Parts: sequence; structure tokens; C-alpha cells
Amino acid sequence: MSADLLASFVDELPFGLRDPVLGYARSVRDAAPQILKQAHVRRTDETVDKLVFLAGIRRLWSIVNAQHWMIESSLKVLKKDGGKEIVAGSTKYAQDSKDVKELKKLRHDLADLLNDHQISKYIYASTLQDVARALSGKKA
Amino acid sequence: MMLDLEKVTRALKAFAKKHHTEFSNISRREAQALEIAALVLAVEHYRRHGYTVSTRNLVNGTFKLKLTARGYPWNFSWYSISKENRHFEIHANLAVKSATPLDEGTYVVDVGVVRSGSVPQAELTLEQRKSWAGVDNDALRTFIEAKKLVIYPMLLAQFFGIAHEIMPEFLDPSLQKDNTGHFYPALVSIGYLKGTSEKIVVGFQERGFRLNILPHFDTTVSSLSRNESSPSPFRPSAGEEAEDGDP
Repeated sequence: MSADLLASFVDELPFGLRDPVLGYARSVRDAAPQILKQAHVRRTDETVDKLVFLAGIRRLWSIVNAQHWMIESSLKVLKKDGGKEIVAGSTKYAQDSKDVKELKKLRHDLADLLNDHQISKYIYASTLQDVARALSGKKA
Repeated sequence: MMLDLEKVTRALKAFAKKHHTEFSNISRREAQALEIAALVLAVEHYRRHGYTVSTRNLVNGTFKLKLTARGYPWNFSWYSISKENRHFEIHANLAVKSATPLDEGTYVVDVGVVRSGSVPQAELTLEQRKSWAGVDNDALRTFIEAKKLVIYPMLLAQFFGIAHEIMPEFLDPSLQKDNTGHFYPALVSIGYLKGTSEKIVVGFQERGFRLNILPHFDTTVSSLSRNESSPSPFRPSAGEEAEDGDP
């Protein structure tokens, strides 16, 4: 069931983001028995379902958050040397550039959504084993 | 609280529709972002190992990133890193010469870490610049290849081949070269390990090859963002470094 739910959400994403999210979720489904064993969590269909679903959402968050962080990190190093902007091909990245402001807002709004639906703890957990433990009510 | 997957899915679908343009831009930038990320990861690795990092060759305050194999490195910006008496440079899309004297192969790596001063700057004559083919192999300390691909076995074989041609000392420790304190050559990818790739990566380690293979690169970068002092994802780790020699 979670695979269908995840797929229905992923269908709304641009084509280029669908396989990274779904492909990762599939790989987590394959690895689920090992993940749950390492987490000392009993394997049930429901737990695997939720783990796979959350893995897909974690992957999407990582894609957004990673782009945001690496541009921010680059701009931070640059600022120390008096620089303001990174040019990559025809794209300019600066604190006040359209791309950076848009990325910051998307990240912020996605974080708000995750928080509002109380799934942040699963998304920000360090490992999938921690997610499994959180799903089973155990401490990470 | 019970996790209501259907409710969360409805919210995410609405969010994805509302932000379709922004997600499209994320996807459009992905290849470019991967190049930037590889550079940032290299910089962060050294910063987290106590190096001072600064930018070089800015153009009117702008860091001009070399995104392809085309163009000369002195026309683009790069990073300088220093720790005590050790000085290196980090360049994007850098041409490097083959490790073997038997051919004149030149390979363009996505990120190259080289000895300071080994990449010519704009003071070269036009003739010198025209004849420049790449950084001498003995100046190269390590490199990164960044791929927007699922890591299939053939990709691992190709990466192994690149390491064999330009940094064979990481595959055979009997080939002496001073790479102490540098991360092992790294293949980073947004994709996951497919098919028998995971077993191949384990096999690489068991065979003594000193290589970094990082799938789900963005997940790694995202984890780094949470903690400024968390270790670099690149081996050798601090413990392994102590075995290799003091950096």
C-alpha cells in the first residue's frame, strides 16, 4: 500500500526526481529485512511499508536540503574572501539571487510541512535503523 | 501519534503541485549541483581536518566554476588549502596526465587536489598556455569523479580504470607516492548501488584497494549539513589515517 501512496505522490514531481526517490525506496524495500534486524525491530508488513514510504520522503528531503547546503557552504567560504557570487555556466548563485532565494523557500516550506505532519523525527533521523526504531517506539 | 500515510501523502501531493516549478528547477540544476557538491565535499574534507580554506582567482568577486572539460584552469576560480607547511589546490574539471610514462594520456577529473603551484596561472606566454596539456601526474594527490547515475558494476569498473591510469598507488601500496593525509580517490553519485555493485565495493576493500564509493551523495551532504564537526564521509577516517601516517 505504501508503495502505491509513494508512487502517487512521486507522480506529481518532475520526471527527473521520480526515479531518485522511487529507486531509493525500492532499494530500501530490498534491504528492509537487514535494516530491521540491525535495529532489533520485529519485522511486520506494516513496519516495512512505513519504512519504505518514509525512506522515499527522506530521499526527497535530502535532495532539496543538499542542494541548499552546498550552495550555502560555497557562498560562506566565498564571503570570507570578499566574494559574493558563484557562476556555474549561465546560473548565478548569490544570497540575493533568484535560484538561491527559491531554494531557501522550498526547503523552508518542505521542513514546515514535515513538521506540521509530525514526521520530522523520521526524516531527520541519522539512519534508517533509527527510523525503524522510532516507528516501533524504541529510542534511537 | 499514529502515522497516517494517506494524510501525509495528500499533503505532499498538494505541496508537489504547488511547488512544481521549484522542484523542476531542482531537477534541472542536479548535474550542476553535483559538480558543486563534489567540490564542496573536497573542501569540507580538508576543513574538517584542520586546513584553512580560501578561494582564488575570483573574477570581480565572483567564483567562476569550471563545469566542463573545456577551457583552461587559470580562467576559472579554485580553492587553496593550507595546514602548517602543507599547501594544496582544489580545482574543478582538471586535466591531469597519466601515471605511466608509456603514454601521453590526459584525463579530466571532476575534482582534482594538487600540489600548490602545479597549475599554471595567467602569467604564462600564449605559446606556453597553448601547449599545456594537464597537470603533471606527480603533482596530483587525489581526485573525485561525480556521476548522476545509478552505480552499476560497469561504472565501478570504469572508476577503477581511471584510478589505475592516474593514481595506481591507491590500488597497489608498493607504488610509492606521498598521498598521506589525502582522501582516497572517490566516486560519488546521486544514484544507488545496483545489482552486484555492493558486493564489488566490499570486494574492493578486501582486495586492499583504497577507494571511496559514495552512493546517495546528496544524503551524505544533507547529513553533513546537520553537524559542522561531523567527520568527512571520505576515507581514510581519523583512525585509518593514523595507520597510514600522520597527516
